[in-house]
Amino acid sequence: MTRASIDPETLSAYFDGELPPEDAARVEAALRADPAVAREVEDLARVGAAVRACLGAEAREVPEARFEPIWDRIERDIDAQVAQPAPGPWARFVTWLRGSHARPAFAVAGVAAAAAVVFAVLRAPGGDGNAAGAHPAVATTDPGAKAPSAPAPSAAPSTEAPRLAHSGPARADEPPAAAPAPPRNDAEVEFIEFDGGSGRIEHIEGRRGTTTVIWVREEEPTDTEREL
Amino acid sequence: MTDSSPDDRTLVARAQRGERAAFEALFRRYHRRVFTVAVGIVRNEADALDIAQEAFVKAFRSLPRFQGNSSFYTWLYRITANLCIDHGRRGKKHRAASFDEARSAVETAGPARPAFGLHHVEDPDEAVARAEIRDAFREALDELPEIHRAVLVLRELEGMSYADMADALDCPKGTIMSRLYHARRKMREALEARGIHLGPAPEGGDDASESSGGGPASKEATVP
Repeated sequence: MTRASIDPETLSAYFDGELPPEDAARVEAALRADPAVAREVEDLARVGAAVRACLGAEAREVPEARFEPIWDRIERDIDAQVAQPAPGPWARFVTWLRGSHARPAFAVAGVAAAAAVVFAVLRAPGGDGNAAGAHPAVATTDPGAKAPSAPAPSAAPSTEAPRLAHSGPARADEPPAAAPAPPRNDAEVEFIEFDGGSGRIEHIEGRRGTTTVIWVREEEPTDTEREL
Repeated sequence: MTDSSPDDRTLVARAQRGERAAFEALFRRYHRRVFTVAVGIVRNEADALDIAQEAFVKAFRSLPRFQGNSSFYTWLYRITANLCIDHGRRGKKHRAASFDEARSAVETAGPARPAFGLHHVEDPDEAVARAEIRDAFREALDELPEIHRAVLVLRELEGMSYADMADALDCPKGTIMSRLYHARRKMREALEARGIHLGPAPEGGDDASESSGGGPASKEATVP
């Protein structure tokens, strides 16, 4: 077993104690057989020592006083957080959606199922999802944007993104009156991001502080792999 | 003499119950190490201080969701590393804008040359006391790509496992292994380009011409 039989990446991983036992045993045999392998391991140790020495020296040059303003700013941030009211159900839902347990595919599938239930309720005679007895309208001024009055788009959801409910008129020449604040039961559309993806979500703020999700539309998937 | 200060787990539990003093104790315990990791990756003191602050703010906000599956400091370094990587991405635009200027400067100055002859550095901890060695270490670290500095710093400074680094940097373990190898190789090459040879001087030999790259390596010194 010689130096030539051990590739440098494997040697680096051996130095870090990250090899499985059988591979580590192979490197140790090479270490015994070839002094050049042992010298390379010593070199790895010295590179690490150089990095630690350099960064240690740099960190020691920064006086403790430089860190005091940091804690002051952290405290101010904490105070601001504490002063904020507890998040409502919608904020809690978005937080959940963004959390590590809510993968996009799961979120879309789950919400689609919820949408089917919601629309079934809304379309049923006497359904109280809309005070006017009509389907919920997307609060939008975009003439091309469709209200989710059709059955839940489980097969081919539209790729056309409705405007944000609070994003103002579709065209600059439209009077501001064309985009009134959405009534309480109108669906709002917001841009959201969740793990590895982004999309738009339509939801209705309920009468008693509840939120009903109508549809989540995922935009083109993004690569979560960091380009490192 | 025993250390009577509460351990991380205790402090985290108290901070999760809203005890600000407990979180401050965690800050006092780790702020310099977080800063050192940040400055090791982003190579700018002011940016590293900002990142250290952001890391603690983010940690405080996320504290209710911290389950204790990993140690507090590993979790904190993950946050820090991610902020550093994000910082690097935001800086890419700026760097792209000044690329031509930087390239012009490199072309004018040429490749790194050892300014003080060839040094054999056996013990970097002692050698770093010398200004020219310290400057060479710094320049070599500056020269590495940020992704390589990140793995090198997290491994050499904080001893993070490949699995933890893969988690922190959102990439496979095999990628970490490869990056770490290349980071070490590049660091050694960058040092050698500056006349720093890590290791003992060869017995009775003058290898100044071997690693000086044709620079002014007229003298050779062994640094402890």
